[in-house]
Amino acid sequence: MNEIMNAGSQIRILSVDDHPVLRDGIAAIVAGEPDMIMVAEAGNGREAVEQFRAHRPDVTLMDLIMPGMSGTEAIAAIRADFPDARIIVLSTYQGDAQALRALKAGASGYLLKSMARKELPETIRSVHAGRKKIPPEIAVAMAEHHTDDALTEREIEILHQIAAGNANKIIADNLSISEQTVKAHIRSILSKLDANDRTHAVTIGLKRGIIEI
Amino acid sequence: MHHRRHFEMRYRIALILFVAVLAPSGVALDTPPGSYRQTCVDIVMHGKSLHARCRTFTARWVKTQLSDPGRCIGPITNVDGQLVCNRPKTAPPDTYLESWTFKEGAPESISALAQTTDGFLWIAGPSGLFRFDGLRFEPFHSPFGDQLLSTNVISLLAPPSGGLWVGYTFGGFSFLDHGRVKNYSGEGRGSVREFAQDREGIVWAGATDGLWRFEHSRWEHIEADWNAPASSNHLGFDRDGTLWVIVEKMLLYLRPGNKHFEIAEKDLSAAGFPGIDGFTLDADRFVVTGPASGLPAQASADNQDARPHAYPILKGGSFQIIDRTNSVWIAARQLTRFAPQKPLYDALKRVDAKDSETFDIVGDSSNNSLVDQEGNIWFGGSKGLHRFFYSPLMKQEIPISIGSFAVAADDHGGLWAGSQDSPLYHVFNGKTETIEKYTGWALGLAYRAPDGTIWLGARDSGLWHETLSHHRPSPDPRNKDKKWFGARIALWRLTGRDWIEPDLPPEVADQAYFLQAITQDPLGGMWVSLGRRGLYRLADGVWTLYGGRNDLPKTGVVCEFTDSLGRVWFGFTRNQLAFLENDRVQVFGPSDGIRVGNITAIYGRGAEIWIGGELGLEQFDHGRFHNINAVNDELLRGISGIVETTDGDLWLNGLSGIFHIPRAEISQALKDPAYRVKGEHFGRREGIPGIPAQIRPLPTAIEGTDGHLWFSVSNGLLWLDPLRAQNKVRQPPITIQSVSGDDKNYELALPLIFPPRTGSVQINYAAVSLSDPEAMRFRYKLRELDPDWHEAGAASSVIYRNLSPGPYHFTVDVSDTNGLWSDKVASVDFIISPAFYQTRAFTLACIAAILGAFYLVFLLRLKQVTQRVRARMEGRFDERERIARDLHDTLLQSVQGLIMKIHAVTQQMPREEAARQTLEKTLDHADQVLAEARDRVRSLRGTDDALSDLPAALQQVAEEVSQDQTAGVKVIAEGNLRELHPVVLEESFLIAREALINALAHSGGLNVEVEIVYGPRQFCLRVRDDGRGIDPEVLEQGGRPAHWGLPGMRERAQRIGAQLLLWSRPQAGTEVELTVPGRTAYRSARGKPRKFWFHRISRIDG
Repeated sequence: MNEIMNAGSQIRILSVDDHPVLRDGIAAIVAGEPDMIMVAEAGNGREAVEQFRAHRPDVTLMDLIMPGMSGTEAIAAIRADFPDARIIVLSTYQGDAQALRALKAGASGYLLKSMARKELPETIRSVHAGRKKIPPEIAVAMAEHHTDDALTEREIEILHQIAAGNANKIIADNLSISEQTVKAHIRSILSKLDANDRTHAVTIGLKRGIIEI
Repeated sequence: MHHRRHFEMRYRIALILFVAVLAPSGVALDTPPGSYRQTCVDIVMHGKSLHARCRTFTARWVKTQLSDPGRCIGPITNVDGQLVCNRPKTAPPDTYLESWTFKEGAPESISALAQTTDGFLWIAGPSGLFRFDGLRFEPFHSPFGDQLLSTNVISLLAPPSGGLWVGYTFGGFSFLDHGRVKNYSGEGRGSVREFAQDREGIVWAGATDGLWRFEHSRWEHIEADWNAPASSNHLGFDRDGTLWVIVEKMLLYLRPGNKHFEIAEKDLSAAGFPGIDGFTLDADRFVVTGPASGLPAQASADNQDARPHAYPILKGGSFQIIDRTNSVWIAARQLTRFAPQKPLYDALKRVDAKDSETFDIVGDSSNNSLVDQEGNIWFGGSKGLHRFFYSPLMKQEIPISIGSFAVAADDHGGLWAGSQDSPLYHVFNGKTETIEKYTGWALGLAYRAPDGTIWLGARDSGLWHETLSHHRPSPDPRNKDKKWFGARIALWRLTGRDWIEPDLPPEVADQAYFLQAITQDPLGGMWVSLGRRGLYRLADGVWTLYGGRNDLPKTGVVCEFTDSLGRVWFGFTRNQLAFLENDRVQVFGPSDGIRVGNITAIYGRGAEIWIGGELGLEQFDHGRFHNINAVNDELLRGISGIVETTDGDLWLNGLSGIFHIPRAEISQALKDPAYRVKGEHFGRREGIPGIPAQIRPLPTAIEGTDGHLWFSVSNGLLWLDPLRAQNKVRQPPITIQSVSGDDKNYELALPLIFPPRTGSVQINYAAVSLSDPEAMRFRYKLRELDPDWHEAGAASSVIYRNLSPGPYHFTVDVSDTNGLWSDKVASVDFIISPAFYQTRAFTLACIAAILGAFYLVFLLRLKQVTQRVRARMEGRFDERERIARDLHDTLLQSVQGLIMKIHAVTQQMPREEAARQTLEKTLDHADQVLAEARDRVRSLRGTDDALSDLPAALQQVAEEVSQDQTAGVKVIAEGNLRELHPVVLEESFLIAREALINALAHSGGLNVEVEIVYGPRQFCLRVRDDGRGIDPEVLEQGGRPAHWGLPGMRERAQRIGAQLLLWSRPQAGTEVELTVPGRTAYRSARGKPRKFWFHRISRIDG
């Protein structure tokens, strides 16, 4: 009854995360808020897009790192069809690049999972109200790197490969490019990240959320 | 009986003589030389007179004297008790002619001859230009491909400064030098008939279009303002420098320094010189002049000062050339040589047939005659090339010079000679007397015994015979009554003026045998060889086969000789030799070292005996045989005559001619068995008409009693005076002809620099002797390679291969047949350029490169080691990363979810409920735990920022640990703070921590210092205290277990490829030093501080 009564005013929420236990936790928190209702859950980006289409939630809580379609891609896909979709990124990472990418893709809020317990309801409400909500430290980090050259898609891809411990030759094979090109990309990556070597680049990439594990 | 007594007397005399010869006591050594010493005794000089007691033909002894023997040029002889100066006048040398016709390769229609300074003879004709070295005619061909203007060459001039001027039939000049040709084609169209060179070296040419002069490197035509003739037939300079020109019938001259030609004679025909064919030229091609030249010394009246002192000596219808013996050669239709006794002009007017020789060789222009540097006189004509030369070898004119002559010297410088086909001759003072009595006998043996007796062996030629000895009936030679149809041999002996014919052994007397050899032993016994028929000794009129001995070889004796020690030598065939000394016979064979083959000559003045044979020459000396080698083996083949002169020189008569070996050469050969003797050779080119007999008559060379040497060859008898024959050979000039590198010719005028990697350098040199071209022997050396001369024999080029780069100096030397090396060597310098890899710079670069390579290898090794350490660290890093990812992806997420769930549950509990309070606190704690866990995970990933400032981190450790300690801790950081590799950072921190704790807890020191040095090449961390130190035992054991933690520290250090050192001394403190190579330690190879980044991270985390 309560559910029916509140059906019109409740914030309808879609939760996307590949970890069921975490989804349960979020669901529990949302369930504790009377003005919110979890309308659907998804385990990866593709499901997220499907569920969004099916339920047209008011707010989508989106994990970034998921098997298959990633969070950022899902955000972009959803926003392409539904420009008004309000999406909050729930991430483990403090890195600026992650946040920036998510925001560029069309996310309206960014929330670290460690803070979700206390701040999730408020963030959902803010975003539902049409505001943007980004933790201040991430905002600062984003501002700091605003002028840096962003890595291209290919470079990020290569950085991923490096992080996976692949040698240049294997990277070249995997991406069907020449080893010379891989080297050129790596030089570019090192330069853009101001990294000394591949490991350093991976570390930086992880720190800044350019890549994720 | 009569003849026996006679013989006995002779024998006694012979014995006396023999003793006299062996021990010439009473012969003063300062008396003049000559054969009289052998037949005279009591020889003394009284004032200027020579006194002696001499033997007559009839063996009487008479006192005699010779006044002023010093005037005698030749040796003195005893002629029938009279001392005479033999040949007081030197006989003129004999003229020989050698010709090369078209058949021998000589150019035909020779128009000019010239000898260049390098000795080559150049021959010009319508078929081109040829070079002649005495053996071969070689068409001129420039090694550089230069071409002559035309093959039709008409005139030549070889200036003393080198090179060759060439004049052409159709005009133009060329200059040849070292294979290069410089052509002057634009000048003139007239035939260049003659060249001449003035005292200043300026070359003039007379051509059909006038006179030309080569000055300032170009040919100038002498124009009419010189009053020069419009053409020229002949021109030449005299020794005063006056230029003489014959144009048609006119004679003109130009005084030196003047520029105006004067006419000496307008019409030579009218002046008594019709058909002038040229001047009289001397050996150096100067126009011979004389005050009384026959010309009407008319001068141009207007210029008396310009008149010459003398005028050319001319002869109508010919030209003349004077050779180096001052003989004049008149070239007209015939060639006439004569030695003028009168002034030349007078002599030319009427050439006396008495002292002239005529040759049937046409000389048709003065251009084609030449006197070369060696004195040869050359004429070129339409039929070829002719060389006239003088030889010390004299031909003895003999009425019938057929066959080989048996020869024996007479007492007074004369000779007994006869052959199988000639009567017996007696040669004395150049005159030949035929001994008619013995006509018809074939003379095969002649011998002069030491006592002066002449022995002749003859063989009846067949049909008739006459008895010769006076003690037998002596029928008229033409009396054919006493005929034997058969042959017989006879032996005659000349004593005094009588020929005696001793009876021969009855078993051989009337046989068609031959007498092969004869010699007289010291007891007067005659050893007579009949070849294979046996050897007999004749003594006291009794013949004894083998002298009654049975130790002499029974093979045929070929030659015999009695030496000065009284040894009687027998030469056999096939290297067998024997001698009889007193009563002892010694036999030698091939096993004793005899290698001369059939022995055909034995001779010796002293104890050493020479043996000649068909294969060579050997010397016997005290039982040993020394083989002699010559520069050319052919020179020692078939030696059937050997004479050793008083000087010790050897004269051999062999198949290749007469070979004279100087004593010095013999000494050298005896010292060094490998030495090849050189000497003076007279062969076919020197006019020898045939070869010496190889079987009989022997010997073929004898010394006359006047010291002259006689040589018997087939069809001729030759003699020479050894004193005059020597050193006739002039040192030929030696020149470097061409030098090529890898078959490419290089100009000698330029510095010879060969390109890098030149594989072979060929040097051609030449020394030309037109007289004896085959005698040249060379030696050379390349200073940089050869310490000594290389004897090259007759080879005229040398090739050096694979010479290393650098400068070289090549020298070549030549010797004549006398074996004398020339004092003027030829040399050439050349350089082989180094290839880039042969330079010193390249060598240095190589050394540098090798050192560099070593350094690189070192660096590589260092890098490899570093990389191994790093790889190990990366491995650990990756492992941790994987663990971190696992933790993050599963555990942390799940815990996060659970916290959220519990949180949600707590939210539903009443706010004031105590359980909710407790739960909320617990959840906050859980958040902290989770954050810590997340930090741990991050630290696993090497993103632990807490350690990044190592000094600060250690300071913090120090503060934490030292709270309950008394010691003060100081942390010092040196150098730019640089980001360390996470693993290095962590391990260093842990090591430092351990050391620090040790120092504070156990050292008991008051001061502890931590020093961190960020060096450019290494990272260094030291922890030291001033405490009690570590027991040396502990140090040795590497750390007490569970105490000090030293093994752990070592392990950690090893993991990061670092060096851990520990110094400690009791009561003096401890220092732990960790050194990590920069490459392993730092993240930044560039040493750029990474602080900024860490700050940022810290801030985010904060």
